[in-house]
Amino acid sequence: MSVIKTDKLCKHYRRGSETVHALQNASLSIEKGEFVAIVGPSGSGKTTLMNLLGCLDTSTSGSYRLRGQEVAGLKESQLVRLRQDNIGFVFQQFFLLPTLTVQENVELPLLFKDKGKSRAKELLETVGLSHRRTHLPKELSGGEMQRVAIARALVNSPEILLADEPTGNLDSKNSLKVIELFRALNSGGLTTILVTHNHDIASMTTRTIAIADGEIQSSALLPRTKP
Amino acid sequence: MKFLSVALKNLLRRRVRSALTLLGIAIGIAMLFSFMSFNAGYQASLRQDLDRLGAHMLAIAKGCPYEATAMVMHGGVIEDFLTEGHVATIRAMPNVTNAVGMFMNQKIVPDGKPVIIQGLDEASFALKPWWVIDGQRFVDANSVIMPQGKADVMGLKLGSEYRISGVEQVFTVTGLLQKTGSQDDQFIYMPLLTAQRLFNAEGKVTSVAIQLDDLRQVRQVVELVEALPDVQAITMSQMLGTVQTLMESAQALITSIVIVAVLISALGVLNSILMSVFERTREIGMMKAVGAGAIDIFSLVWIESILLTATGGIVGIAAAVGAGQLIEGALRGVLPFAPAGNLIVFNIEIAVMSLAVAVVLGVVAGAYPAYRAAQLSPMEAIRSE
Repeated sequence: MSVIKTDKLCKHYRRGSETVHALQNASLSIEKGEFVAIVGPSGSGKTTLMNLLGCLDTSTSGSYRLRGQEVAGLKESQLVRLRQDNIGFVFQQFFLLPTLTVQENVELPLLFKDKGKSRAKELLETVGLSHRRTHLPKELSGGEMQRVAIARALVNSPEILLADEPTGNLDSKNSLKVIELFRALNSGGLTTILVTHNHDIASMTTRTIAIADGEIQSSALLPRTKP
Repeated sequence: MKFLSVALKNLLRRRVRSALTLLGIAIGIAMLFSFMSFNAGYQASLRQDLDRLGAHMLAIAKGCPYEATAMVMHGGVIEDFLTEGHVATIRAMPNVTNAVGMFMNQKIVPDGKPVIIQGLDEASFALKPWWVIDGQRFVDANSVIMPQGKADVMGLKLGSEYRISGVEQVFTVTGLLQKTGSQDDQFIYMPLLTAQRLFNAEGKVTSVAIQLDDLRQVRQVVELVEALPDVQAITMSQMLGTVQTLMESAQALITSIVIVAVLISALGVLNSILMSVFERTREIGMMKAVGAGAIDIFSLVWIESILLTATGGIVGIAAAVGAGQLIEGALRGVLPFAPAGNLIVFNIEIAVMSLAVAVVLGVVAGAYPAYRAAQLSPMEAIRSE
């Protein structure tokens, strides 16, 4: 069974008098354990697609099944539960809370969900930042901040990791480290989806979904390349 | 990690803004707390002044009730006298336990404050059973009893000579009245006859203090007393009422100033928290994306607001207690009538009430920013620059 399956997913919104077709008839499916890049130029609709796949937004029409559950038509409170249980988010700008320590940042999602034991320590080990546990974000490099954000995305043990331009604010050396981390997590069985306009990054995944003008152009399975 | 600590840390992120907003709340709550403390203290000390009169009602010559009240409570001059015949008549009335003629008048001294003199006879002492007098009461017509405080200021001891400028008679201090904490500490006491002679008013009294055997009989006694020509009766409740009428307009003014101050400080909180929500739009979007629901975000912002006003309230109350004497002095200067005891009385109920107002301000002022924050979309975090 596909982890993600969409059928003719559409998102329209009105800007003044015109209707913008941000996404048109997007049909795709992503299997468990896949490492997918969604690529496209700005304005192509890749962010819209990511918002829909991440249950941050609802579609105008069409169907989206997340692990078999229909997402279209759910209420905001139900979307919150879906996000908590299934999706870990990584953002271009990290969004670590500057007043919290590294470990507290990793544990932030637990604040909104009653969950037993915190995995923060082991996750910080996974991303190689155990020694930074009590540091504040301002004491970290950009690459380290993004790795903390990745640990935060994993703290609820999600099925899917969804990353929006995760290397957009990093230099090439740190970008590579972060992508390597994604690959490692993916080999552990985590379904990973990157949204990027960087083809070098996209080429390190196993599949690229190209999108332009709100429509999916291709969904090619690529041979995995060595970095 | 708890909501409270996240909210607190967020407030500390913008220290200057938080401190200024907190200061606004502290000022508002300090004013509120002082005002409520003042009201409580004023009422209590007014009642104490009246209780310490030792009488249930007074009979005086017909005149202005405000003057009469001021005279009875602080010393002053009533031009019209009653006679000792009145005292005897009233003492003979049913339900009257005791009626004592009181004589009070003031000598204007060329340099300094007027000296307020009260004339006492043996019966008068019965009205003041709590008086503690060092030395003796009166031994002869030249005896005076001095309040200890006044004696200390003037350097007088037991047996010292005492002169009033413009008066030939030389008095001797035979007794020292220990501090009573009431208006009694302001007067100089001499035998009734001596006092009457000093003012050429032999056989006359300024008021008749009346004790009843049953307080429920006040109305009947008032009717009897007022049936006498040119005599009016003042009961304790009337005196209280007179002073309160004097105070009401001052209180209304202070109340409106306090309300305005508190409202302005609440607007400061609203503004400050709303700004911080707008600045954190994308951060809040992130929190929603990583699993925060609308209620979570609402709570976080709301807690920030309440934390700010509650802390402001505590700071304000502490400052008001610290500056209590200063505020008391300032109030005494502007009040139409100030009793002798402490005007401002701090108590825990008023502190709790003031703190509750501060918390309610946070609840009310924080609700709108919290609502706005809760409505933000998680897509704010994804939105590309």
